[in-house]
Amino acid sequence: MKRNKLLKLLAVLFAFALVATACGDSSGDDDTAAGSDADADDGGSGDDGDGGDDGDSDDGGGESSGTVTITGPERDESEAGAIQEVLSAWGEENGIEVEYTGDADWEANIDIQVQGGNPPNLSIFPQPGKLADFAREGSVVALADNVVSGMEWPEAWTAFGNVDGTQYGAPVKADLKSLVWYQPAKFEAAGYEVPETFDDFVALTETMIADGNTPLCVGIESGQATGWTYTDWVEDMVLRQHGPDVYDQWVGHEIPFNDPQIVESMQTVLDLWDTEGMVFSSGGSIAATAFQDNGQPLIDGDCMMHRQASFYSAFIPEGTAFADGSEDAVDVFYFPDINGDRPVLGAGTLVAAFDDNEATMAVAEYMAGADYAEARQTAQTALKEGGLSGFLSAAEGQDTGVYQPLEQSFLDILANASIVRFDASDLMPAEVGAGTFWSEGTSAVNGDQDAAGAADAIEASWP
Amino acid sequence: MWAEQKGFLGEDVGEIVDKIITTLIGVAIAVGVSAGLWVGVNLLFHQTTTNWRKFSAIATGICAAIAAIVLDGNRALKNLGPQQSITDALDDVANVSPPVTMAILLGVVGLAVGKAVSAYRGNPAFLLPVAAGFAVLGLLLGLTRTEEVDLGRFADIFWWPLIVALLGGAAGWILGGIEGATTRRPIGLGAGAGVGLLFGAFLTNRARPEVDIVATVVATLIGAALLGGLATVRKRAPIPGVLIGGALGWIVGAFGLADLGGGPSGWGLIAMAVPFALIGLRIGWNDLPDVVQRAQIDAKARSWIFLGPAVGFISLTVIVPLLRTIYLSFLDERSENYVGFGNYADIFGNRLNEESFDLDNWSNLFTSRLFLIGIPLLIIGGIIGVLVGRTTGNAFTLSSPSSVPMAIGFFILAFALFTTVRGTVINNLWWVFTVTLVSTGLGLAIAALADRTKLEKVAKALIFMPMAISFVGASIIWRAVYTARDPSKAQTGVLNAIWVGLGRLSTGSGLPTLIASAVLLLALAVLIGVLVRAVVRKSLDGVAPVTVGVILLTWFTYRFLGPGIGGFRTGANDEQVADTILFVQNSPFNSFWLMVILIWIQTGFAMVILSAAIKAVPAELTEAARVDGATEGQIFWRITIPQILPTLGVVITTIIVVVMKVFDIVKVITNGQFETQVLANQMFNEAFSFRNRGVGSALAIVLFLSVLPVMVYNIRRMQAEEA
Repeated sequence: MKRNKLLKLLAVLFAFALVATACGDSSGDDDTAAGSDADADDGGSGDDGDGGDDGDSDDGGGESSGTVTITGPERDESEAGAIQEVLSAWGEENGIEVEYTGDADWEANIDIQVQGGNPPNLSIFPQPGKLADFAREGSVVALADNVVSGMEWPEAWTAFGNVDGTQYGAPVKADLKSLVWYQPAKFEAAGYEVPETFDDFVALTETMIADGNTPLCVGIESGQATGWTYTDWVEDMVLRQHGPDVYDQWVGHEIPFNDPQIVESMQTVLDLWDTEGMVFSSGGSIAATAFQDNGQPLIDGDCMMHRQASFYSAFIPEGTAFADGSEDAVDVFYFPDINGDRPVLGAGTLVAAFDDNEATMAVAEYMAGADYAEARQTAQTALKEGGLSGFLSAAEGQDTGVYQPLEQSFLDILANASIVRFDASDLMPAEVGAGTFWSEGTSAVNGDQDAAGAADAIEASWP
Repeated sequence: MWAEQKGFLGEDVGEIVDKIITTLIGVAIAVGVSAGLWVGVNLLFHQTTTNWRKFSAIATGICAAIAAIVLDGNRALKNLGPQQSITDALDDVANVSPPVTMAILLGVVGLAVGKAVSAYRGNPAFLLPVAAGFAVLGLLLGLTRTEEVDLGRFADIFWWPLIVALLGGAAGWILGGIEGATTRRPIGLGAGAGVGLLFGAFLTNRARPEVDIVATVVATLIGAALLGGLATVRKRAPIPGVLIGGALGWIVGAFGLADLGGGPSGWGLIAMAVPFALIGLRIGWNDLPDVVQRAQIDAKARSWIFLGPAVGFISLTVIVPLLRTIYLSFLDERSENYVGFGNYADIFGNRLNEESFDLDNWSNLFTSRLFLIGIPLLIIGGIIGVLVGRTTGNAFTLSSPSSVPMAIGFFILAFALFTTVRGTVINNLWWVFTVTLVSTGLGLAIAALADRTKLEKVAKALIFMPMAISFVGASIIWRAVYTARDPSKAQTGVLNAIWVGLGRLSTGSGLPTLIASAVLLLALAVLIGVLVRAVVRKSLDGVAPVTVGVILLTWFTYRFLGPGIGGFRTGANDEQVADTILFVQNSPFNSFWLMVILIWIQTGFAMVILSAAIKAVPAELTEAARVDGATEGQIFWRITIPQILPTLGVVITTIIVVVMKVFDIVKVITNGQFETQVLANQMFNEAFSFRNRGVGSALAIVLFLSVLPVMVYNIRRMQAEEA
C-alpha cells in the first residue's frame, strides 16, 4: 500500500519533470538556432507557449535559419503592428522568422536582459547615448559589413550609430523636432507671414501680442519626464545661436554645461516665454501644462503657434485636417534659424545587434534600407486607417508617394537640412539627459531659479 | 483608440486564452512540484526510523544530484570563460573517448557497490552483475555525449546529475549499513573523494581554479577553527564541525580566492576531491545512529520541513536581495569596482548633498510667517495648561484647551522649519512628521467623536474607504483635484474651482455675494453668543475652541467683506482676473499637498484600529470617573488616552513605516520635481533611470536602516500585545 503511494508520487513527479522539460525544450531550440547559448528557460510563460509553436514550424521548414528576436520601445498597436507586419513579410521571403516585442519599459528591461545574459538578437535604441554605452561595454556587436554598406541613410543620420569610429547602430526611424505647428487660415486672416528668420519669428510674436493674440502654446509637463519640451527648445536654440560645433562640444561635455553660450540659449528661451502675453498655457502655468494639452488650444485659437516635433500630429484633436488647404487645416513651418544654416534638431531610433549571426545581420541590413521605410510607412498608415502614420524616415531613395502631404513637408525639411543633430538630452548621461536637465530646467521655467543657476546645478550633476 | 480596443477583445481572444492556459499550466506545475517535493521529503524522513539504509542512500543521492545540478547548471560559472563542452573536458582528462571513460569509471564504482551488496546479502554472486550493470550504464551515458548520438536536451540536462546521484546514493547505501567507526571512516573518505574526483574531472576548464595553496590552507584552517569552535561552544564533539568547516573553508579558498579558468586540470581534481572527501569523512565519522538518535533526527527534520517552505521563500525574496543590495551599495554605478562607502558619502556628503540637505535658508526660519504664528499659539497653550493645572492642583495639565493650541502651534512651527530647510532627507522627515501626526490625530478624533453615535458605522465606512484605493489610483484622483487651468478658462480642478469661485463671490456685488455676506455675519454673531455664554459660565473647556473659531471666522469675514478672498488678482486694466493656485508646482507647500493624499488614505487605518481600542476601554473606568465628576474632556485625556497608549504606539509606528517608504504618490504626481523629492523615488531614479546602481542600492539601504528600528519596535509591541 505504502509502496504504491510512493510509486504514484514518483510517477507524478516524473510527469511534471517531463512536462517541464518539454516546455524548456522548444526555447532551447530557439537558442541553438539563434546561436546564443546564454539564454535558457527563464523566459516568461507566455514566451514558452510561443516558443513551442516556433519549434514545430522550424522542424518542418528545413532550411530555415531560425527566429530573430527584436525588442524596442515602440509598442503602440500601429507602430508595433507595422514593424511586425513588415518584418514578417520580409522574413517569409527570406526564410527568417522575425519576432518583434514592443516593451513599455524597454529602457530598464534591456539592461536586465543584457545583465542576465539573454538579450534579444536585435534591439531598437531610441538613444544613441545608451547605444554608445552598450558598445563601449561590449554588449552590442559591431554591424557586419553588409549592414554598413546597406544603410541608405544620409551621413548625418548614420553618424548617430557610429561609436569611436565603428558602426554599431543603423538608423531606422527619424523624428523631426524643429517644427512649428500653426493654422495657415488664421495666419492669412490676420495677415501674418511664416517667418524666415528667428528675428522675424520674434517680430511676428510681438505683432501678435499687439493684435491681442497669444503667439505660443507652451506646456512642459510630461509626468515623469516633465521638462523635456524645454530641453528641446534649448537644444534648438543652441544650434541656432552657436552652431553645430558648440552643440557637439556641449553634448560631449568638452565645454561645461554652464558655459556662457549654453546659459545664453537657456535664458533666451526663458525670456521669450516670460514675455507678457507670449504664452498660453492651458494648465495655468507652463510647468503645469501637459505637453499633450497644446493641440486643442491651437485649434481653439487660444494661441497661434506651437513648436513641437513631427509626432505631435497625434495630439492634434481628432478630425483636424493636415496641410490640405482646408479652412481648419493644421500645417507646420520650419522653426526659423538665425545664421542661415538651417540646422535641424532630430531624434529617432537605431537598430543594434547583440550577436553577429547571418540572420540577425540580414534583418538589420533590411531595416537600414529604404524598402523597409516604405513598407513600414505603408503598413502603419493602413493601421491608422489612413491617418498620419507618425512614422518618418530620412532614408534616401524611398518613394515619397507613400507619405501624406504634411509628412512630405517633413521630408522636405529633412532633405534641405545640411546640419542634423540628435536630441542632446538623449545623448547626455542619463543623470543629466533624463535627470537634472529636465528637473533643473523645469524649476527655471517655474521661476524658482534663473538659467545660470540651473546650468550650474546641471553641471554639478554631470557624472 | 477604439479600434484597438475592439481588436484587443475580438481577434486576439485565442491568443489570450492560450496565454491563460500556459500560465495555468505553469502554476499547476509549480504548485505540483512544490507539493510533491514537500510530500517527498516527508516520505523520505519516514524512512529514518524504519529503514535507515534506504534513507541514507536516497538522501545522499539527492544531495549529490543537487550538488551536480548546482555545479553544472550554474550559469554564472558557465559563462566565466570560453565555452567548452563536457565532452571536451573528458577528452582533456582521459584522452579516450567518453563512452569508454564512462564505462571504466562507473565499472570501478560498480565493483565497489557490487562488493558491498554481496557482503550485505551474504552472496558473492552479486558482485559481477552489479559491476557490469554500472559499466553498461556508463557506456550508455557516455554515448549520449558523443556527437553521433543525440538524446536531446533531456539527457543534456540530466545525465550528469544522474550519475552523481547514483554514485552518491551508492556511497550512502554502503555507509548506511556498515557499523564501526574504523570501517566507516575510510569508506566515507574514499566515497567522498571518489565523487569529488568525478566532479573535478568534469570541471570545465573555465571553472578550474589557479589554486593559491597558502590562501586555501589558511581558509580551510579558518573554516575548521570556526565550526570546530562553534561546536565546542555548543558542547558538541568538535571533529565533525572541524571537518565541515574545513570543507567549506577549502571551497572558499580554492574557488573564491583564486582566479578561475587558468588552472591545471590536476589542481581541478584536487580542488574538488578534498572538500568532498572531508564531507564524506564527516558522514562516516559517527557510528550509525541508534533508534533514539534516529527518532531525534526525524523529529528535528520535521520541524525544518515544515518551516522550510516559508524560510526558503523569505530568504529567496527578502534575505538574498537584501544581501545583494548591501553588496551592490559598495560597488560603483555599473557594479564593477569596489568604492567602499563612496556611495553613502555621495548621499550624505558630496554629490547629492545639495539635494539631501539644503540648509542655506535656515535663518529665514525666525522671520517666517509660520514661525510668528506658531510661537504665540504654543505660549497660549502653555498658559492655559498652567491655568487649568492650578484648578486641579498640578503644575501643568494636558487637556483640550491647552493641547489643541499647543499641538497646532507645534505643528505650524514644524512646518516653518521644514519649509525653510529643504532637501530629500528633510522632505522624508517632513512626510513622516506630518502624515503620522495628522492621520493618527484625525483618526483618533474621529474614533472618539463617532464613538456610540448614530452615524458611527456610516462615518467610519466612508472614512475607511480610501484605504481600498491604491496609492497610484489615489494620486491620479488627487492630481485631478489639484489641476489648474488657464485663468481665462473654467477651472476643472475642484480646489481651484472653489478657490476661484470664492474670489468671484467675495469681490462680486450681486445677490449671491449679499447672501453669503449675511450668512457669514449671522454665523459670526451666533459664535460670539456662544463664546459669551461660555465666559459667563467660566467653562475653560468651552472657551478655548470657541475663541479660536471666533478669531478665524472674524478674519475670514473681514477678508470677504473687505479686500476680498479667493483666487483673483487685479489685472492690468484694473479688472478682476481669476488667479489659480498651482498646488503641485509651487514649492515648498506642494509637498504638503502630496502628503494630504497619504493622510486621506491612512486616516481610515488609524481610525479603525483606534476605534477598536477605545471600545475596549473598560466601561467601569469611565463610569467611575463620571461618578467622580470628571468632564468628558478629562475622561478622554486622563483615562481613554492612557488606556489606548499601546495601540496608539502600534498605529504610529505602522504609519511611520508606510510613510518612510512613500514612493508612488511622488512618482505619479511630480517625480520628485519642484523640490518634492523623497528617498524612495530618488532611489528608483538613481538605480533605474540613471543606471547608477551603487547610489541606488545605498539609498535603499539607508531607507531600510531608517525603517528598521521602527519596524523592530512595532513587532515587539505587537508581540507584547498578543502575549
